[in-house]
Amino acid sequence: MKATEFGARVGRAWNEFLFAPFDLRLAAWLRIGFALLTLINFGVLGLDLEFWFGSTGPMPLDASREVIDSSSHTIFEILPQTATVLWICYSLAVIHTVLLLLGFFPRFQAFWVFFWLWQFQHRNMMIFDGEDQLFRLFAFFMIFLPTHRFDSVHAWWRERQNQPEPTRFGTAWAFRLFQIQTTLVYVGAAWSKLMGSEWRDGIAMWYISRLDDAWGKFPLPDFLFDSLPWIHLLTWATLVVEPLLPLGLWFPRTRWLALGAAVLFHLSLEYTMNLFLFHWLMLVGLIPFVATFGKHRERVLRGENGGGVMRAGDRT
Amino acid sequence: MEADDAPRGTHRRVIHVFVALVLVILATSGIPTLHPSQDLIREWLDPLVDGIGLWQGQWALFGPEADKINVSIVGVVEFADGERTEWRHPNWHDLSPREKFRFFRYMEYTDGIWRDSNGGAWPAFADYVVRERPHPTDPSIAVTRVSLWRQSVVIPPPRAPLRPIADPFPIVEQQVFYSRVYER
Repeated sequence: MKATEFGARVGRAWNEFLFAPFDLRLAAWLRIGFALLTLINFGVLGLDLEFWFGSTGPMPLDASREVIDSSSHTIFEILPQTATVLWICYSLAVIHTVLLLLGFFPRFQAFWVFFWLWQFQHRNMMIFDGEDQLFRLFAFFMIFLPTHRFDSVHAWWRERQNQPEPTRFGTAWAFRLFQIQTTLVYVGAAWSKLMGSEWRDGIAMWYISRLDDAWGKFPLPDFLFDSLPWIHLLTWATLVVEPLLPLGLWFPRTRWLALGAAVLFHLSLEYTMNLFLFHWLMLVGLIPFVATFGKHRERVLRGENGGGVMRAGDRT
Repeated sequence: MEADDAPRGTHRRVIHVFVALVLVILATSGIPTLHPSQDLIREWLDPLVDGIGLWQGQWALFGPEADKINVSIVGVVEFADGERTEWRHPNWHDLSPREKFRFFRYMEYTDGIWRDSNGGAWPAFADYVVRERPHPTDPSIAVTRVSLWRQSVVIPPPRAPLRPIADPFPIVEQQVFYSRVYER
C-alpha cells in the first residue's frame, strides 16, 4: 500500500470516527445525568460553603495559594473575600446547573458549570479528588454537545408550538471526547494496578477493605474479607475486569458485555466503598457508548425509533 | 459513514484542529507515565493546561500500591492556665453511609492536610482550631500553644490468622506535624 493511499485511509477513518451519526436522545440523557450529579455535588458543597471556601474556615485564600501550583488561578483571587460574594458565586453555579438539567440553552449553561467547577476546585484543591477532575472535564465536553434537541425546555416549547421533531442524529465528535476520557480513566486505573505488586500478588483488597474512610458503606458478609482466598479472588477479579473494560467498550462485538460488566463493577464498588459520586459519574460517562450499541443502532436503522436519518451501512 | 449533517469545509477543519488539541491535552496529562519524557512534556504544558482548566491526574485509583494508612487529625489548644481543648473530625468508622457521603469532603481534607506537600496550609488550619476551640470557661485566657497531631496506623500485610474486618486496626502512632507557641 502506498503511503498516500494509507494516509487517505487513515483520514477517512478519522473522519468517520469524528463525524459518524450519533443519537442525540442519548446526548439529552447524558446532560440530565451529568447535571443531576453536579447538582448533588454542589448541594453537598453548599452545606459547608463558608467552611471550605470562606476566610474563617481552615483554608482561607492565602493558605490555598500555598498548596497549589502557581499557574493555577481562581476568580476568587480577584473578588472580594466576603461571604456574600461567595454565596453569589455559588448560587450562580447552582442556577446554571439547574438550567443545564432543564436543557435551557444547555451549551451556554455547560460553559458556566465548567467555569464554576474549575474556580471552586482551584480555590480549595485539598477537598477535591479525581472525580472532581472528571466533573470538570465532562462539563467542558458538554459545551460542544447539542443536548437541546430532546428532553429539554427547547423540545417542550417545540412540541407546544407543534413544530416538527428535529433530526435524531448529530455528529459524533463531542461524544467521542466523553468516550475517550472515560476510556482514559479505565486505562489509567488498570495500568497503575498492573504495575503494583500488591495487586499482582492478590492482596490489595486486604488493605483497601481495612481503610476506615474509603471502605465500608452497606453490609457485606465478613467472610469475603476475612479469608485470604476470597481476598485474592476479589483483587485478581478487579485486575482482570479493569483492563478489559476499555478494550471491550470499543469493539462492537464485546460492547454489550463490557457495558454490563462496567455497570456491575461500578454498582458493586458504589455499594461497598465511599467514593462520593465517582461511580455514578462513570456510569454517566458510559452513556455515549450506548449510542453505538448494536441492537439500538439496528432498530434506528429500521426506523423503529422514529426521527432522524441514517444511511444503511453505518459502521459506527 | 458520516452523518448527513456532518460539517464540511472550514467548519470541519476547525473541529479537526480543536479535537486534536483537546486530545493532546488529555493524552499528555491523563495517560499513564510509560517514559520519563512524559513528565517533561507535562511540566512544559502544565501552565497552559492549568490556565484553561483542563488538567487531570493519571487515574491511579488505589494503585500501583494500595492505600494502607488510616489517619486521624487532632488539633490541641493549650491555654495559660493549663487548660486544653481539642478539635477532632468525625470518626469515619462511626458514620452511617449517609453521613460518610455528607462528610466526604472532610475525608479528603484530613487525608491530605498532614502531608508535607500541604505544609503551607498548616498555619491556617491551626488558626482555625484556635478559633473553634476557645477556652471552655474564660475566653480571655491566652492561648500558649497549638499543635496539630497525626494519629495513624499503617495496615500491616495480611498474616494468618487474619485480623477480622469487624476488628479494625487501632491507632498506634502519634506525631505532631505542626506546632506554634504563642508569645506571652
